[in-house]
Amino acid sequence: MKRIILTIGLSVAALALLGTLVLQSRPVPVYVHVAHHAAIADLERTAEDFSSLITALNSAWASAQEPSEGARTLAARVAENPMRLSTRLFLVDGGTSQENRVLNRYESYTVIVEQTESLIADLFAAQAVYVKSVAFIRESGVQIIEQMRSSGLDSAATDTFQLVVGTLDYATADASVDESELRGLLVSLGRDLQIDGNMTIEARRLLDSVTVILDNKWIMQSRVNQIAEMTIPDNVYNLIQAAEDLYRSAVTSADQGRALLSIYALLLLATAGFIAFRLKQSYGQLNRANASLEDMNESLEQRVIERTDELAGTLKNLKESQVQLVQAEKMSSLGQLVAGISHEINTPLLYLENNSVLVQERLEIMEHFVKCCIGVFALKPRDYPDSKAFQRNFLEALQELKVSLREDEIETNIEEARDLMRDSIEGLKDLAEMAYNLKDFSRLDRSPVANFDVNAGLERSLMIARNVLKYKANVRTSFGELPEIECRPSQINQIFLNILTNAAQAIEEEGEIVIVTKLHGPDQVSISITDNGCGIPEDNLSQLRDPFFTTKEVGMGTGLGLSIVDEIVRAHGGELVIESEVHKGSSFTILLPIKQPSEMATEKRDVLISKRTEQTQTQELAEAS
Amino acid sequence: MKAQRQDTEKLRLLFVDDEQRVLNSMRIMFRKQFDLYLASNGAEALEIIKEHDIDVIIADHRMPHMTGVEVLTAVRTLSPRTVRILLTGYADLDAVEGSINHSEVFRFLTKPCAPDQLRETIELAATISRETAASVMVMEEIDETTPIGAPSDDIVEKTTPESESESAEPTISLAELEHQKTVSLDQVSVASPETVTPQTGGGRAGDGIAVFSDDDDVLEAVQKAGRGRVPIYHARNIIKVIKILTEHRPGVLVTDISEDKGTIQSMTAQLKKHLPELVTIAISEHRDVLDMVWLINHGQIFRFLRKPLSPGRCAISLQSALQHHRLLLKNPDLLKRHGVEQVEEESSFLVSVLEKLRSAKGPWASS
Repeated sequence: MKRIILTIGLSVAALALLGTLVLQSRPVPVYVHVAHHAAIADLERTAEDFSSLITALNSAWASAQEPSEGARTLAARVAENPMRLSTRLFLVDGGTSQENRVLNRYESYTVIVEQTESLIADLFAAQAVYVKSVAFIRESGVQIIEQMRSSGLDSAATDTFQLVVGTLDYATADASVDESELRGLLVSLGRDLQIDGNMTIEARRLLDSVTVILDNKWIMQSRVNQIAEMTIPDNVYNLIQAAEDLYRSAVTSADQGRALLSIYALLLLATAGFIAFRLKQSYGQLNRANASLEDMNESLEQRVIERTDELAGTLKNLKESQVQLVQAEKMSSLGQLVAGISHEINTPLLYLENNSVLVQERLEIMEHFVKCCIGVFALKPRDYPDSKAFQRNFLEALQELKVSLREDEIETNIEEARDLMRDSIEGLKDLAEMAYNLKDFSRLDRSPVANFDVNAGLERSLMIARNVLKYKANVRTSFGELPEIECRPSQINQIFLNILTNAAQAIEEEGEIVIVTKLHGPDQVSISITDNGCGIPEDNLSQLRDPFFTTKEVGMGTGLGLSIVDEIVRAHGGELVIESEVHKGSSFTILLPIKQPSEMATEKRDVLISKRTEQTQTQELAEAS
Repeated sequence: MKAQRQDTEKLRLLFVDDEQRVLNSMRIMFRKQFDLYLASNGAEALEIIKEHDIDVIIADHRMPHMTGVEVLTAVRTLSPRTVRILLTGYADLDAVEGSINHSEVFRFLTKPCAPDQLRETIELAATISRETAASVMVMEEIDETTPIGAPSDDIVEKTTPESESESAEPTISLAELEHQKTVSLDQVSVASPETVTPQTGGGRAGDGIAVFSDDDDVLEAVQKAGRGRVPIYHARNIIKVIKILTEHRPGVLVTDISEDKGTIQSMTAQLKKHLPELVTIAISEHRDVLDMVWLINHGQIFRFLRKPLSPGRCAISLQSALQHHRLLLKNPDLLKRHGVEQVEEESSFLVSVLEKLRSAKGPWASS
């Protein structure tokens, strides 16, 4: 956050500096140049004009002439100069002090010019009066003199004449007449005339004109001198100096600004370059980081895939080995039964074959006997010469039959054959029952989930396990009246068989197995299988349901039997209770619900069971479909 | 001792089976030819054995309380002359091994068994039993007159007290029966000084042990068991074996049947036919019911030992085998008791070699 604020601040500062520099480095506009140079030229010309004007005035003031047109123009130009400058001189920006200096000087210049202007105006006014007076004198002097003369005022006329001449002379540039002389003359004349009362209007006018001439000549003289003393050139010079300074400073400042701007631009450029470089670097780093990230991502994915594969493989192996183990467990519990079952099948087969052969032998004997009988019956009296011969032969044949009956043990043989056949039929029934039990036990041809008669299932399991049990234990059963329960009969049979085999294995020499079934509460059945075998040590009791827990030698048992039993019972929503006492025996009680809770529970159970007993399930599914 | 009978009497047959129908069937089948005794369990059978001089006993293996092997083993002690046949519907490995090593059965029959085969086997057994009765009496006398005790080696020493205490009991466990026999055998061995020194002129005929095995462990175990008292000949191939058997005439052949099973089986059968006095001990890594049954019925192997051989067990078996060989030499009649079923296919090579052997068998017969 701080960094962001700092960065923004720096950027704004840099931009502000840039703006300032841009403003500063703005080039002086052309019109400013033009105005400046025009102003300078104007000023210089004004200075020249002024000196020309002085000259003109100097030459003009005594000539009793009207100011020349040139002088007037010059004067006007000089007078107008400040006005012109005002529009030209202040276009230049060049620092306040410089501008103030220019302004100050301009103001003093203006003052000087105004003073000069008024002086010139005075001068011109005086000159005009002076010129008029001179002209009056020149035109009317003679007349007046003549008048005087005519009126007899000769002395006055002479004085007047002298005065007029002296005055006219005085009015020329190179006057040789002294002013005081003229004034004396004037005063005396005026007094003369006054006293005489001969003062005419004309004369008065003349005298006044002379006075004006005398006065104005002096005034003019002083004015010209005053004007000449006006420091316009100095002021012009100063103003030029100031303006030049201002202009220079403006130009310089623009230049400096440009230089600064250039430097700043360079700096900025360098900074930008640096930033770009850094940016590029960091982009590079970012790219590299990205690339490596991608690489890592990819390799990660690869690794994840590999790991997943590995894990999947392991899982598969585990599943396979679990299936194999479960299968091995089945095979091992089956294997114990196979011995019994195969003996159970082979024994009837032995005597069935034997009996068949024996019966066949007896049939042959009887066939012989029957043939003999038929031979006896075939004896006809007409075949013999007389009845005696027939009787004798007949009796002989009967005697033979009698002997045969005794010697061939016909009756015994028949009896034996009957016994043999009876045994054989029983044996066949046994075999058929065995086959039925095996089929019904595995229930491969039945619905996987069905109503199941627990007692019948126990009977069947006992039948299957008979060979294992009968050499070991006396089995007593007490079957209560039970409703059929909902379950997977093949699995329930499996657990019955497993517990029964366990019980048989627990019994070392001879023992007893008691099986009790009864209702347990309103909705459960209880099946307890109790043996009086070796029992289970307390230490092992807790581990009994763990997979792979076995007390048998390696290779003798998978240790899965009871864990599968437990799992099947729990999958059915039941409970397996194991009680045992060493040397006294063990009791396995299975509690199973009569109804399975719902379809969902059934499904769940299917899933659970399918994990364990895939083989069975596959078969069942195949049938179900 | 049971009463002696007349030769004219019918031969006595004892059937032991827990299935009454089998007994019925057998009774009807054999009642004319034989004097029949039927027992539905081991205890009954042993009672009958004690009371009657039974020629042949045919026992089922899987029976309550006492297995057929146990019954026959007891019979072997109680009535050595009775020819023992096991007839069972399911042969587990222990049953077959027990029937060889403990019961020393004449035949191992499996249910179902063809009536003809059953009849032939039983008739043969009965004939042999009757014919060799006298010789077995001798054998019994030897056994009974041999003093028990005074053990000469460690193995026996350990087992003697048990043997003594157990010998008083009517039923004797398998292992102890074996030991009892060993003791007497050892006595015999010690009694004849020549046997102790194998170097002396090739020893007495029949005292050597031929070992036919690729496995050095087998040889080592046999050597250990022989403890230098018996010459031991080692062969790694069948020609060498034949050569040894011809030249040195050992009394016992220890043969490894783990490899080249077919040839060795066939050889064993041929040897029994041509050198009936040769006592064979089969050794194998694996137990195979069918192979073992075949070796009983066609080779009359004396013992079946599993690898790895335990020296003690090996020694006991070898001593028993040597003694058995000597008995056979002494009573050629007894050879009949080891008659074997005929093997159809005969390797011409083997036959010629074995024919040669038979012609050279004189020294044994004369000894």
